[in-house]
Amino acid sequence: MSYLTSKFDVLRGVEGKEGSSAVVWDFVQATGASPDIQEGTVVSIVNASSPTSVNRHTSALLTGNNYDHPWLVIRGKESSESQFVNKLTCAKLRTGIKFKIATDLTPTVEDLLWAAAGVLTNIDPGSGKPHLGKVIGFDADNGLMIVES
Amino acid sequence: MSNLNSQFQLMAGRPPHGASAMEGNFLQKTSESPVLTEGMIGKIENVAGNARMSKLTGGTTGATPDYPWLVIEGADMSDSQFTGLAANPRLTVLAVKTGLIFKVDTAVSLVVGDLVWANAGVIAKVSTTKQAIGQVIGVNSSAQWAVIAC
Repeated sequence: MSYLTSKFDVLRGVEGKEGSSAVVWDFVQATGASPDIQEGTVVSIVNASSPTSVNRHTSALLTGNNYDHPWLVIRGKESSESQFVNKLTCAKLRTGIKFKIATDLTPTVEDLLWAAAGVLTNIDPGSGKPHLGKVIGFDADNGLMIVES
Repeated sequence: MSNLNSQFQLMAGRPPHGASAMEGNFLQKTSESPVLTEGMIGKIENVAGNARMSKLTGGTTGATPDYPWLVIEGADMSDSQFTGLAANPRLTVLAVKTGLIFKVDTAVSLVVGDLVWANAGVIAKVSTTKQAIGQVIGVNSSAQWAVIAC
């Protein structure tokens, strides 16, 4: 969100934005995550003792066929703030957020989205894996899609 | 949250600062025992056409989804007793799964990443097909508390 060249923006849903909704928290990037996790990446909690860390997420059902708990990185390792505090700022998906993000996909409005290694995809991985959002806008000229979650 | 010996803390999600979860106030169901205190998970029950809050025991995945609420001002607090009825203290609650993070005292052994559900209003680890209310994002096993995001 802080770079002039950034193709990612939270439109609604986080504190400081009109219509704040989604809950935001800071996590450490998981040891060994490579390349560094940047804004717009979907991550999830890694089972580690301390500190609580996150790594790139792939949509999956969890224990007892429960939905997964994906987070969207809104301030990633490319930002100096993140590097200074060694944290990624994340917004919890499915708690009310709308964002714009660059994509290689050619989605259509209403496409459902999943995460594959941290990247949003409109390809259903099958097996009942839970989607995490929906496309509500697509700018084909600039390769940008608007997502609600 | 205002009791000096409280082992519960809401860390993010309550409007207006860190606005996220939907807040509500409901009278506790008559004769609920033990009473609902902060950090417990409740549900709405229809009692003679009125909404009353009782302890939630989560359903199974695939069944009708639960509508859990987190108690942030419980029946043990004077505010709750003052604004409620003699037999029905008024509980302040936040809708779960709408974006909130809280720290709660627990005797359950949890690790980061565990899913948790509500068993008679109390946080428990999901080990079967129980509907999760959230995920553990922090623990302190010696102090027996967990941070849960939902």
